[in-house]
Amino acid sequence: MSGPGSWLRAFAVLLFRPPTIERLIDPIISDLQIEYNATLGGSWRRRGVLLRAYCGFWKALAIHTVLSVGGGSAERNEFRRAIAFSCLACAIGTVLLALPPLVNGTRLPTGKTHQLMLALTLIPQALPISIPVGVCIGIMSAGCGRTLTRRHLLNTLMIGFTAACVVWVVLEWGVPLGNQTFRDIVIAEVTDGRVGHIEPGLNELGFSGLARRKDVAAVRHYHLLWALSFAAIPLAMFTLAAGARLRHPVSRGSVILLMLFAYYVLLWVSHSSLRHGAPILVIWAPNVVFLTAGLMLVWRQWAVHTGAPRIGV
Amino acid sequence: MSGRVPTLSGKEHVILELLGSREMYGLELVTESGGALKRGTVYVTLGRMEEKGYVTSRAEEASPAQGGLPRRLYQSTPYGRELLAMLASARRRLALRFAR
Repeated sequence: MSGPGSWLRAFAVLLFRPPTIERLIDPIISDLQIEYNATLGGSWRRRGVLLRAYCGFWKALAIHTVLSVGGGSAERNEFRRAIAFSCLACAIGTVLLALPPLVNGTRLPTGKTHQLMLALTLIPQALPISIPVGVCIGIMSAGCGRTLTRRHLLNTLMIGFTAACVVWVVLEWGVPLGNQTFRDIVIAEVTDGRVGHIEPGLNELGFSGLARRKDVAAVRHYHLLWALSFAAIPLAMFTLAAGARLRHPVSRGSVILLMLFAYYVLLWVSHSSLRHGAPILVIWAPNVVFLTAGLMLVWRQWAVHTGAPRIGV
Repeated sequence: MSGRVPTLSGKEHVILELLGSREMYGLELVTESGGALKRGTVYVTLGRMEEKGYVTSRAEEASPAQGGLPRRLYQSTPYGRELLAMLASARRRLALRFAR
């Protein structure tokens, strides 16, 4: 097929099932071509027609994908369960991570308002860890001992990508604001208000703040934040593959614990190795290792259960 | 057959009213709706209506003059038309009963 919109159709064929192509994509492309061919006048007018049609195409695709998110009823239920468990595990993880520093913080001679503020400032610090951990627990809890489909892979990638975006936002704005507020409150209390503000350090800078600095420590920290942001995607992939093979709750729990321990130890080791002259990309090693391992496990599952359906949206 | 009561969304209502008993294609529906339907949503809505059995569709026999992909023509089913008529009747009765 040639003509305007043919590349859009070729792209859609890669992702969607034949019924979707026949009922959604082809009619849109057909309208586009007929309207384009029927438009008289200069090239700008025809370009306007194309632009409107392209916008309509992407809008239709987005709406259709959102409406059919989750796939079939069983996959949709698993998807919803994974999101619900992820949110719950994330909330519990955040409280557990924020609790010990909060208990220590209450030893400071602060008022109740300041203690509440301190509690709030601890939440952004906990989120970059609790979100990936929550996602892993959610995905592991949602399905086990099942045959993996491309829809499972797509759903897991969606959850992982959304979690990565949330962590990025938290690291860019939440953590710097929380850390700086925490330091200001504590320093004001400790010095009886003589010092009201201290200059932000590396932990009080987000991506944009670190990108402006050229010193080695800032560059390392900048890459560490990027690696941390994307942690949810490789961890979710690995969990999906591992969860599909395991049935017993104890073995699933053990795998999650081992995986998270291995990931964060590897991250710590690679961050430490930067001080000994290792190239900056080493900080991405944990993400690359877990993503590769996860994809290989998924590939092996597919090799066993051949004929996995298309994404199917 | 499930015991679910069939429903019509605002867009589905507009589409069934426009279709009547004739065949139309998506862009034609968008044009004739006067802004009630958008080109980005019309085929998604038509697809769902087809799944519910409110409309049927067929690919138009391509004319050599047009070139490219054939259009998809939509027509309301007897079930869709009956549902529209029943809802319109119910609406009229409600209006008469509760009109002030």
